[in-house]
Amino acid sequence: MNAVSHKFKKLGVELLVVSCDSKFSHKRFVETEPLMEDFAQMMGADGNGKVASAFGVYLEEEGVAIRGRFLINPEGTVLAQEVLTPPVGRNVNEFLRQVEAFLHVAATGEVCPANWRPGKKTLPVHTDAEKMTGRVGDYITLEEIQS
Amino acid sequence: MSTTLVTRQAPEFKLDAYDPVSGKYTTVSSEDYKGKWWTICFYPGDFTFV
Repeated sequence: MNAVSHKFKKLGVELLVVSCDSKFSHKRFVETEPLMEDFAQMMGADGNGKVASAFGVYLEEEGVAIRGRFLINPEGTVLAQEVLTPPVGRNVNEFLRQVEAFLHVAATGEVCPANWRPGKKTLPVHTDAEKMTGRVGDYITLEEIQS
Repeated sequence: MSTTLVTRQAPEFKLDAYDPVSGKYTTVSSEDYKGKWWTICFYPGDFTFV
């Protein structure tokens, strides 16, 4: 996550990382792990796994959190989540893409179709829903989606 | 039981924390993020990849 954390900052999105380690361990981790150099995001210490449990990502037998990430809007609503077992890391670029898409939707009211990324075509706002039902292909082609 | 949090309110919490920017120990809570876009990322442990 360190590789893209400055991009979240640029978008005005706060990033909180949480594990069941202590705050002392977090400090040591940032100080010693080369990949954590210049890491500038708050690190929560969820020793008893209470918060991980509340988010549904606590592995009780092992006392650890699994890789769950959540995007939350200013109203406190969870908009997106991804949960993976520990051995596989997340695709941070995909997370970033989703954040950009949700910010775009919130700012414009437009709808971001599959594979959308900034600069790509959105679906028009205020289109007669009935007109578009089953005819989304009139508004965007497969080639445009896959480009 | 529906288990996904998506479309629901994020749980409230308060945690001990380490702030690498100031280098200080502090606390962090869901209150700190009221009115903001934010993300929370859980990971299995320090000294693994985040």
